[in-house]
Amino acid sequence: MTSALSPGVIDIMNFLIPALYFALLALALNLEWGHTGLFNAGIAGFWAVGAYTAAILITPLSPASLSYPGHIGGFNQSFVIGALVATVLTGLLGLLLTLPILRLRADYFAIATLAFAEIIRIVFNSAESVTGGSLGIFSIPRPFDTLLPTIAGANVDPGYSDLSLLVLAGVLVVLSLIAWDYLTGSSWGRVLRGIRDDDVATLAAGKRVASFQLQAMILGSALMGLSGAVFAIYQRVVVPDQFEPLSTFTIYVMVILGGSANNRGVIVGAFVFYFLDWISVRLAGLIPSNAGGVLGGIGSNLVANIAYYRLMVIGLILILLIIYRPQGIFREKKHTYPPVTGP
Amino acid sequence: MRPFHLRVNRDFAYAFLIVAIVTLALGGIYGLGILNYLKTGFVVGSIFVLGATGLSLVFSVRKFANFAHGDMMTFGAYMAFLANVSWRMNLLWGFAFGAVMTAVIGVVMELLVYRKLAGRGPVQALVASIGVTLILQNGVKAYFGTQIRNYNIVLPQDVVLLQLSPVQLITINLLRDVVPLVASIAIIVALHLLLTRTTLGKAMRATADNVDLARASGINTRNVIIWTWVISGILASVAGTLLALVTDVRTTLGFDVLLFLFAAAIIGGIGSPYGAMVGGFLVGLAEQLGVAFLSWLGRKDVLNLDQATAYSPVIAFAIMIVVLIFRPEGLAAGRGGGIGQVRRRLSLAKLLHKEESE
Repeated sequence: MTSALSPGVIDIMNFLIPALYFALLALALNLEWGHTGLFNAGIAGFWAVGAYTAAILITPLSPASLSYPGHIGGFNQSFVIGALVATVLTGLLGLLLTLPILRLRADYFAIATLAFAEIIRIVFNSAESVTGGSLGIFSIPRPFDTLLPTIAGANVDPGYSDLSLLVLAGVLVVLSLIAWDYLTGSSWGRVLRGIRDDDVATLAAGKRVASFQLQAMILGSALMGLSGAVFAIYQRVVVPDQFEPLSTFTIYVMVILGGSANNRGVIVGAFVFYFLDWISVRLAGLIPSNAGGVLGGIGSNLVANIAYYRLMVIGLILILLIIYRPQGIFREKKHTYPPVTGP
Repeated sequence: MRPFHLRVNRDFAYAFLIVAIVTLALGGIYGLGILNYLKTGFVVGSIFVLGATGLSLVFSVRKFANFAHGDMMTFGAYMAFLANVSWRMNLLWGFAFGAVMTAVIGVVMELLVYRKLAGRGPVQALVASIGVTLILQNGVKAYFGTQIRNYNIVLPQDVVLLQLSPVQLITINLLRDVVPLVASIAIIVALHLLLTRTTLGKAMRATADNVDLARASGINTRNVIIWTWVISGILASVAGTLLALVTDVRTTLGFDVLLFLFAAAIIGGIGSPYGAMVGGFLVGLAEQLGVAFLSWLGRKDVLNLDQATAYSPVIAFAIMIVVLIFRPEGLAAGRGGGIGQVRRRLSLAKLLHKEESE
């Protein structure tokens, strides 16, 4: 079963699609943390809720069996419905979670949101009859597969299937970027940055700080949910292990690397970071593990432990960035406003 | 704020009252079998006490939430494993070796990372500590592998305390149950003496209270911070090794309990080591009583909840979030203050902190 597209193109598409859904997450976090200064350490939780909601809505019923506990569903809805519900539900969850913990200091806020994400993961892992437990939900259909050319009249061409998702994810990122640029460039965004830099002064200026923070959290969480929906149809399977706290920290590296409070910067950050991640796996594969001698020894050790070395490098990048270049690749745009002249 | 003072107050009394009532209620279901859960609760709690105290100590002196504390525990447990299994030494030497190495890691991280971030607020150091977590955790995984192991020790026979029925026993194990409890209490007493009787301890308390004032009084706060990391490292390593002794040696050991440690530290009032002691036992008991309650819910004739006991961390985390919402300074700070008063105090502290850092 070969695709009409060349393997190289498919390879690159399978780099671009994850980079794009990470870019959505980075944009979402940028609104919450970059612009508003809310340390949301529960990204994985919102992402998981979005992914599971979409998966449950669009997957046909998978009956329970001896080897699979089943999950609620069989709704067979279109991706549009799935993504829409995922976005709205995650936004609502952002509101409900943030409302009681909003007045906490940044580090307490981080601990509370991290606990929330872990609760979500544990519940998804344990509520077997609802979410399929640790086996998750699989055979999630991709939205355009029924419209695409098939191979020998049977299966959909995997290359075109990937291409359709690439277009979808690309359109979503562009639309989100336009919306985010409009929002953060407006007076609304100015208040958010005011809260980040000095919440007491913003309060004194007559802005309702809590309300603005909530709005930022709702919009950010909703976009995380949308990213989760794209993630679900791309991976075709969601399992709780994909939503460990590590994924949250990865998004922080992307945002800090790209330049927090710079919407285009964090998208570049997501691409650069995911590219490093993606290429490191490929490079390790190139080292011959069966070549004898020193190189072979290093090679087999590297291949066996590549996942751990990669994460150590991520940790190192995070530390070096936060110490030596906290503003990231792209600085925050200097906003200058004309002086207010009285009547 | 006086972070090192613990008043035995109404909130703690209520908390333990709730624990007692829940225990009695569950005793109605399990009979004396509930004692087994209580025993495990105290043993696990004593380990949480050690972990949370170290976490709280760093928080009070260094003013940031150290997300790497859990993996300092893992690191200590594996250093003990190295000494005990690879070098065939007694586990006591393992404890000592782990403590020294973890203290060194703490000091090195302070010098290389956290010192450079001093004065930049709590969030920057927190993000850096996430980086440290990734390096420590994956360094251990790459070097030792991820398989689950055990220390090279001979476990003594369980001592039967009470025989309820031919199948149900209340047992206690000298190494797995008594050692963690005794070690934890001994270390806490030693820490108490250190904090109250020695010059270093007094200097630490002064630094925790107000760094500038401490420096103005001639305290070398840099040294105090280094010693804080040494003590925190020792506490983390002992907690990690004890946890590995009670359960097993695995690479996710510390990170898995990190949120429990935060829960314990927050319930006791983060930055207050004495509060963390009480908080540790409360979290351990809450978690184990939660297991008892959930496995009752999981029974076929009750709710038939699948995987019921897997939810037990949810109970501890939920308690933590509730405490954060109603007593953001922890139960130790309550004293009838109410939310409004705590809020005002918090925002005042924030304002003062801003002035300090500018």
